[in-house]
Amino acid sequence: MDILSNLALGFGVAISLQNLIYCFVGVFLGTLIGVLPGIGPVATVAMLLPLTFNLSPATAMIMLAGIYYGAQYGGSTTAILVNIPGESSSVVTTIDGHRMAKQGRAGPALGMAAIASFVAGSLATLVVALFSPPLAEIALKFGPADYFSLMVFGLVGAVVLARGSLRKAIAMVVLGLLLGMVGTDLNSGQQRFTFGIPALAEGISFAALAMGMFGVAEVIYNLEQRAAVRQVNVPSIGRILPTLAELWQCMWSIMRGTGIGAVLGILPGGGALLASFAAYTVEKKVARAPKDFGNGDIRGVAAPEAANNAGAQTSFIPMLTLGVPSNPTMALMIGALMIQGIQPGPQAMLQRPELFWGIVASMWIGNLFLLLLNLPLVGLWVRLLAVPYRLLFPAILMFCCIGVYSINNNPFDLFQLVVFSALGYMLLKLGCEPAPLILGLVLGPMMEEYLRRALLISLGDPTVLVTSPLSAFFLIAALGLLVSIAVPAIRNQREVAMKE
Amino acid sequence: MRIRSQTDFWCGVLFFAIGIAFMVMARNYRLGIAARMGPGFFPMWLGGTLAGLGLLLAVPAIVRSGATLPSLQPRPLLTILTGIVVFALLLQPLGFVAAAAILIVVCGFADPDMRPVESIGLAILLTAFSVGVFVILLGLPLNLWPNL
Repeated sequence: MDILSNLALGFGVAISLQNLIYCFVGVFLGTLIGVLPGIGPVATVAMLLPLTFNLSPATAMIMLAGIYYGAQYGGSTTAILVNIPGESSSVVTTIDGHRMAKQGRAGPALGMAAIASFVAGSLATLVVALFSPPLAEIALKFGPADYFSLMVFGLVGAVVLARGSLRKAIAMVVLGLLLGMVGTDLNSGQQRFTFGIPALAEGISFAALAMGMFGVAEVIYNLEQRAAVRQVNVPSIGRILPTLAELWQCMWSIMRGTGIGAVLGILPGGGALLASFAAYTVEKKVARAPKDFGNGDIRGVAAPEAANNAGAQTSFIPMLTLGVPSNPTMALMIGALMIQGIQPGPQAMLQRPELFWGIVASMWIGNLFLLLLNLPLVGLWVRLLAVPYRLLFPAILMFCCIGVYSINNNPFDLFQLVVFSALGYMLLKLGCEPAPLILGLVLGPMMEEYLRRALLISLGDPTVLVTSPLSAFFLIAALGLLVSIAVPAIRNQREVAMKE
Repeated sequence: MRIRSQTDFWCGVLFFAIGIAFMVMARNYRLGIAARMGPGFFPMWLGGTLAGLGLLLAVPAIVRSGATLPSLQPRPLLTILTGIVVFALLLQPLGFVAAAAILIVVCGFADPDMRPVESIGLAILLTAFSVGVFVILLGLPLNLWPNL
């Protein structure tokens, strides 16, 4: 069978001693930094990005995937133990996870989170392997107009899922697109919005923006909320492995969570956040004793953890097959690939099967390492969390600074970090979420290029965006999303969802 | 007249101003026509859209009630940004070890509870950890010592 030989190729690439070591280091560092309160996968991946620059593309992606899974699991650990979700995707885990921790059942909660993540990750990796190649074949037929509209759809998805005001989220996307314009225009060679600064000719440092907004701004914000972060009581852990009865109880929750996560992860803007929330809601609906949910029900940990890990895997599908990131972490991955000289998309995927299948194989290996590393090391993460925030935040700042500087070895990037930290802090205070902005930043130049090509072919006629069936489909879908959120009933549900 | 929703109003004003600024700058670049988009075409459109969205936020906020502006505490913001600026300025002349240690000590002032001993201890510990993991183990090309 085709897929078996492809997977064999992938494992052949991924299983070299060097790759295994980098995958292991990635998972370890990812978890270590992800555990730090208030630091989610985006900031972690951005911080550790420079570590992958000297590596070959396959090894770099393997390490980054490891970092990503590690960061996500680290975030769940923090969510369960101290009720501080690192990123929105682990918000749901805090509901039952933290309640379990308060009841002295932190161990099984953490253990179940690791097991659910592993099972979901393994299954979702298969989904990636099965669905990416046909999707890439389809993607080869996409014209410029189709790509443009697909990106519009993706950005609308990100807007709909952002917390808070819809108008603010749309404005953040547009601001991101505008920031993406900074640098050299590919077509005319014109320097745009660079103020004559040579370092800006290549555009805004993506990592500096991500770290400023998701890392440094967050630290400043936390330092202000003095009481909130200071009083961290880490509960005792107890046994880590869940009992057979608990595993049995959770088996179907994990399966349902995986299914939901795998589907929603593919959607642009969706990824892990929507997946974990939907999985939790479904569990509550189908459970026999739904009133246990919210009071430390282990199924309330297993399902969303399975879903967010499955979503994390399948969000690679649009990134690898279309070159379109579905969430900020994938945007960073695209950035990393482009630094390696690879433009992700259907061509890259079909021309370099060893890279694609290597990534798929390393996803599974990364998940395995996650399980092997975290069951024994939970105690270490717990002790790290007991350290007061004032001793942790300087580490976050230092890692951010090293990360930003190492990308180009240019101190100017650190000034960019300062500017984006200040901007991010201001926007945070004004109630604007940064995720849509980051997606806009990555998609900006691509959207401009596709729009240019589409209009060139149609001789300036903008109706090309609706006369191509695929493009029309994406635009209608985007419009549908926007309308649906304007409908009061759904909007209320979204607001309830975001509050929880 | 009192503005009812302070946060939304100022947020809208900010977006409006940024949008207009981009439009003004984009005037220096050739606009072109739709069939042959110049470098100014897309930014001009985006700038206009952002300015419009800013108005959509700011104008209703004058009459519609909403959140007041959150209070600002300048200490963490200014201390940490200063720390990073100092790090950026010292990194190449003094090398990573000294710049990193200074970064930690400066940033320590962001938290009034930080004791001097802790601050210095952290500086030594974190610098050593970073050199060990990032430079020695993972091979990041950082200059450790001053360029003499």
